[in-house]
Amino acid sequence: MGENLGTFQILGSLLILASVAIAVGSNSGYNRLDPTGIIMGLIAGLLIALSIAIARLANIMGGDPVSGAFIAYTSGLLVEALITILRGNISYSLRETHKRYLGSVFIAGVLAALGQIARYIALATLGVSIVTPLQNIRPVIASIVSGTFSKYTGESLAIKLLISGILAFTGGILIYL
Amino acid sequence: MLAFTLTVGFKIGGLNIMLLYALAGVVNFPLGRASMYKSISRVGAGLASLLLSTSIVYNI
Repeated sequence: MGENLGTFQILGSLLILASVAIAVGSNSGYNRLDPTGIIMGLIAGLLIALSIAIARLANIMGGDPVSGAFIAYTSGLLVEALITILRGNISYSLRETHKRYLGSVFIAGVLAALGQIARYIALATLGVSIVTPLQNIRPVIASIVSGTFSKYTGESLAIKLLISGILAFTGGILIYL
Repeated sequence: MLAFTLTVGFKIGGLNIMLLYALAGVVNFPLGRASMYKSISRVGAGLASLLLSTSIVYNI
């Protein structure tokens, strides 16, 4: 897709993979060595990367990114709704399971939407090569916030996880140099 | 998202492009994000978001 794989990209990738290995091996905080959780996290990374590659292909073919984002979000939401309906547990989920967490889920949704708006504004003003590595600050923020609210999240502020997050952030910057 | 799209203007480049964006959305949300939430519930937000950062490696 017109992108080169240079020394910085290889170094950055190795740094990110090393940070994951350190974090998984640290076995601190919250069920760190749950294999299903680790595999699901890696699958999520792979699928989201695949989604970005497909969207990029559509952009290269002449698609409009803003309309594309709208089509992607709407399609994702429709399929998500269909899966929920097919599972047949909407009323049960709303009445019982999610009742306790509805407030948290609502706040998470609003924050995610605000984050997307901030991302588009950043992309429009700074460009992909600056915005994408900056987005990789997420593991650091997630570790700090989850550790700070450990009473609710059950996650302790693990120093090794924080260091891993900083390494992953540095790796992300190297990839886009 | 709808308000933003309507403000900027909605342009469809063709059926193939539209289908690619739709596929990207399905891969991202019901599959990718669902896996992410499963991961968060099992290993916590800190490690899950770190595992998610491998998406940058897959993308180069």
